[in-house]
Formats: sequence, C-alpha cells, structure tokens
Amino acid sequence: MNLDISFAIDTLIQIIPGIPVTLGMALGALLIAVPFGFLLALVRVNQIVIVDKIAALYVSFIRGTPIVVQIFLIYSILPALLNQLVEKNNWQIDAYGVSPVIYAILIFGFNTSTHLSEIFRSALLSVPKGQKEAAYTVGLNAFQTYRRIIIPQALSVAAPSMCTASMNMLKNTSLAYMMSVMDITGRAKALAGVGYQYLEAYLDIFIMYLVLCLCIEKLFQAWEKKLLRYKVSA
Amino acid sequence: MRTFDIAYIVNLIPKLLPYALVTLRIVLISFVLGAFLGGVIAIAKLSHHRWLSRIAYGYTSMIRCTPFIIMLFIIYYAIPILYGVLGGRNPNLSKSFYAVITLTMYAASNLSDNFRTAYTAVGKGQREAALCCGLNEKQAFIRIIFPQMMYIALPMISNVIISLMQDTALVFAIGLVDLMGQAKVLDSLDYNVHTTEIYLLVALIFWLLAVLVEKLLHVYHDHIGKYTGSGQGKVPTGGNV
Repeated sequence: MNLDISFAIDTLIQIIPGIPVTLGMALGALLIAVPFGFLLALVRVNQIVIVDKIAALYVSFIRGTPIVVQIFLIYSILPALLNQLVEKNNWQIDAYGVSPVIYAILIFGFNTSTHLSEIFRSALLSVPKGQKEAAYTVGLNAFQTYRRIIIPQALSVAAPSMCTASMNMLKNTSLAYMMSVMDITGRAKALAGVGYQYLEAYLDIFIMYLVLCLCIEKLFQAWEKKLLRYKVSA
Repeated sequence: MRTFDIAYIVNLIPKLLPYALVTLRIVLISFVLGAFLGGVIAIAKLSHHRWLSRIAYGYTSMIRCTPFIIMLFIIYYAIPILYGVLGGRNPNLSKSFYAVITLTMYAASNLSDNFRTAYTAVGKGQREAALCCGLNEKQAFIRIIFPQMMYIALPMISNVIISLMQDTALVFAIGLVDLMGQAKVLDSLDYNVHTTEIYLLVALIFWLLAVLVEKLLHVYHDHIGKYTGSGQGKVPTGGNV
C-alpha cells in the first residue's frame, strides 16, 4: 500500500471548512478562560478565606485529570442537567439539540482557565510589592493600580506561557470529535472512514495543526514584542 | 433524570483500579525511554553543529504543534505501511507498542527542553571549577553538574510525568485497554447508564495519581536539596536567588 496523494489533496481541500470551527472553539474557550483564570489568580494571590481553598482544589482537580475524562464526564452530565432545567421552567428550547460546540467551548474554556490561573498567579507575584505601594502613594485606587501598573507588567511576564497554554488548548480542541463536533479532526475522520485511508487524512490535519500553531506562535511573539516596553529592568 | 449512585462507584473500584497499573506501566516505560532520547536531543540542541541543533529544535516545535491524538493515529497507521515498504510482511505489533512510541516522542521533546534549561542554569563556572580541581569531563558532569541539574529540573519533570499520564488517557483511541479503555468497556457493557459515575471514578483515580506523583517528587526534590549548594541550601537558579 502506498500513499494516495490525490486523495490527500482532495481531503485537504474538504477539511478546510473545519478550520473556522476549530478556531472558533479555541477563541470562544479563550474568552471564558482569560477572565475566569484571572479571577482564580486574584482569589489565590489575595488569599481570600475559603474561596482561596476552593479555587486551589478546583485548579488541582482540573489540572490533575485528563481532558478526555473531563469531556466524557461533562458531556454525560450537562445535557441532562440542562434538560431538567428546561422542563422545570417550561422553556421552549430543545435541551438535547444544543450544539456540541457549545459544550466543547465550555469544557476547553474552564480547562484552560486553570492553566492560565497558575500562569497569572506567578506573573502577579513576580511584580514587586513596591510597585503597588508606589501606585497607592501616588493616589491611584485599587482598580487603577491593577489596570495601569500591575497588569501590564504581569502580562509581559505571562505572555510566553500564555502562548504555550493557548497552543495546548488549540491542540486539545482536536478531541472535540469525541462529541461529534465537525472540526478539522472530525471532518478528516469522517472522510478517511469512507475508504479506510486514515494515514493520508491524518497527515493532512497534522500539517494543518502545524500551520495553525505556528501562526498562533507568531501572533504571540508580535504581542510579546509590544509588551516589552512594560518590562521593568531589574 | 436518575439519581447519582454512590454504591455503584464503590463496586466499580476493584474493577477499574487494576487497569491503573496498565496506565502506570506505559507511563513508566515511555518516561524512561523518553529520558534517554530527551538527553540525546538536549545534547543536540546544545551542540555547536548548526544543523544538528536545528533538527533538534525543529523536532521539539513539531511535537509542540501536533495534538497527541493525531500523532498517535499517524504512528498507528504509518508504521505498518513503512514496514511493508521495507519488505516486511505483517508487523503484528501489540497496540501498547504504538502507544509507547508516541508517548516517548512527546516525553523526549518535553524532557529535552527541561534538560537544556537545567544545564544552562547550572552555569559554566561549575564545570570550569570541577576541571580545575582535576576531575575529567565525565567526572565533572556526573559528580558536579548532573546533581545540580536534577535539582533544577525535578519540578519540571513532575509536570512532564503528569502530562504524560494525561496523554495516556488517549491511547484507548487505538483500542488499547488501559484505565480509560476499561472505563469505556464497562460503560458500554452497562448500556451507558452509569457514564457519569464511571468517568467520575476515572477522574478521581487520575487525580490521585497526579497528586501522588507531584508529592513524591516534591519530597525527593527537598531531599536532594539538602546535598546541593554550600550553606545556602539551594542551587542558584539563574537569578532566582
């Protein structure tokens, strides 16, 4: 058996409509992960009683379990819960008709938030205490201090790890096919199954993920360059 | 919606726990192989041959950009074909072979990065001082540089092991029956009635293993910390002290 190049090229073209789905999932997940991750980091940095412990436990659980297990677990709980809610309130929506993309975004979002929270936490702790005190002395309030002094400096520390976390998340979206999401992996699997030409299809998406990830890496590098001006030289 | 069944989970424990050993065995084998390969790649990265280090860096960034499951499928389908091209008949390899190969590739890529940063963090002065004392290159590495490297690399190594363990959860996709594979088998034997309970238990087992690995390596880290560095109790880690 040899590689069927024409099939590979055909498949590559047919997989392309899956790219917006993959990127959409990744972007949607980031929109959840960044604010929630920052909230978790704030709770832990400021050591708010009890909430702090709960946040630590949550982060440990999500980071300690494989994302596939989370997918199977959440996908077995959430639709049924939603259905119960719908029946209770007599809403006019089909609980089992919710697109699996929504569940995927929720799962990947909350999963990535834990990784980001650790990154944000160490970044926030890396900003010297004097910066905060100086900002208060100048007359900024807590919000202004974070917005103008602490976050820009913390971001310049966090950016490289944020890039890694985002890339990991993009890679993890390939598991959404288990919820029958038609992203690039889902499409490739479906197309390959017809003629049992799996290797060609997987090589196609291998290239696709490589290109997508390299693009993301380049984007983050450009952003890092911009953030460089906030970096305080020790 | 049916109620959550705790008794079911308790009954499930003896059915699932033995398969955690399958998972752990795969993790251990791939970690050991990955450490060797990762060491070689780290040497290639640090070498002065431009092409050698380029290939090593290229390998790492390729692995960084490829989802584990895609690489697993590629290895699973490509090796028999390659084998055929090379003139073999039917490789008839076990599924854990493909799983271990793919996991080793990922472990080696991550570990090579850790080893490289740890090596550069130790500092040239240590090697030079060791050579001045009359040790040869091999002794200097084994007695002076390597122990300090380990101290710096250990926290990162614990991350590598944990992510290796999580990747192992995907090898059921090629039909290997490990912890996750057995969970799937039990789930379908039970007509998908107790899916939540089964995967909750799987999640708890994975969590326990991850916490255990982290704690054990943490204790070991503190233990070797006693013997490194003079008086400060810590190895200077590139500006951290």
